Amino acid sequence: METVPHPETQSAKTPERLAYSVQEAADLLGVNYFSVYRLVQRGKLKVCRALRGKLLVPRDELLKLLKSE
Amino acid sequence: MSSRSFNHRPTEIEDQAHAEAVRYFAEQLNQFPASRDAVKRLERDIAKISLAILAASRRPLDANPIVTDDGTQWRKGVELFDNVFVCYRQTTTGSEYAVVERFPSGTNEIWNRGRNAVDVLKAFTQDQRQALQIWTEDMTAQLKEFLAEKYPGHDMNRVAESFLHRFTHAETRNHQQNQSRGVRV
Repeated sequence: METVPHPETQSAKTPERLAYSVQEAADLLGVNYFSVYRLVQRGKLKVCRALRGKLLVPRDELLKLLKSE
Repeated sequence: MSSRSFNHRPTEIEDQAHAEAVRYFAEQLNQFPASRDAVKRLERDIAKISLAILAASRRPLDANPIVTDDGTQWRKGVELFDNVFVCYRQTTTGSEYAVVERFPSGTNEIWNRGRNAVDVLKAFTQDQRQALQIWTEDMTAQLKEFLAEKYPGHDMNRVAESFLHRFTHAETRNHQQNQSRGVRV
């Protein structure tokens, strides 16, 4: 089941999000923060880092995780 | 005593920035201490939890096995955190133990597994420590970004230091409730 907002449900003027913060990822997956960091620690959820080092979860990785579930 | 670590009285803008950060990151300020304390309890209670799993594994099987993503069936032993369980199963070569997390999607993820319950719990605990470390590093980065965007051109190092001290040292909000949770079998 895909819970990441589908592009068609977003405003036509809003470009599709490429990545989400951990907070957003937790909300989209329906889990708490610690579960997301647990997924990151075990490499089940691959993340990248923004300029100041903040973790970003690529949309594709979220979709991949949801599909593998 | 306040957890804030200012050597000198904070300026008005530092006070304001600190209050804004506390409001903005309220959920993480609430969840981090609870998770950290759960890991501490787990470290403290590994022997007790292992005994509880052994006791559980000797009881008659219940009707609802947990099926993990590899298709293996497990019996629920002890709940460690919300939706995280130590499970066990009997194989032809003896007992096997696993820490399993149940996700809202209904899937069950194995975090650690092995033949020795204590070793499985120790490995899981180490992973949780690393996950908390990743969380702390990410919180630091999130905070720096927040302060830089809200207060460009201001030195917010003391605010960041004070906030992060609060983040990592805060008491669990529902301290008594969490203390009384203990091990659930």
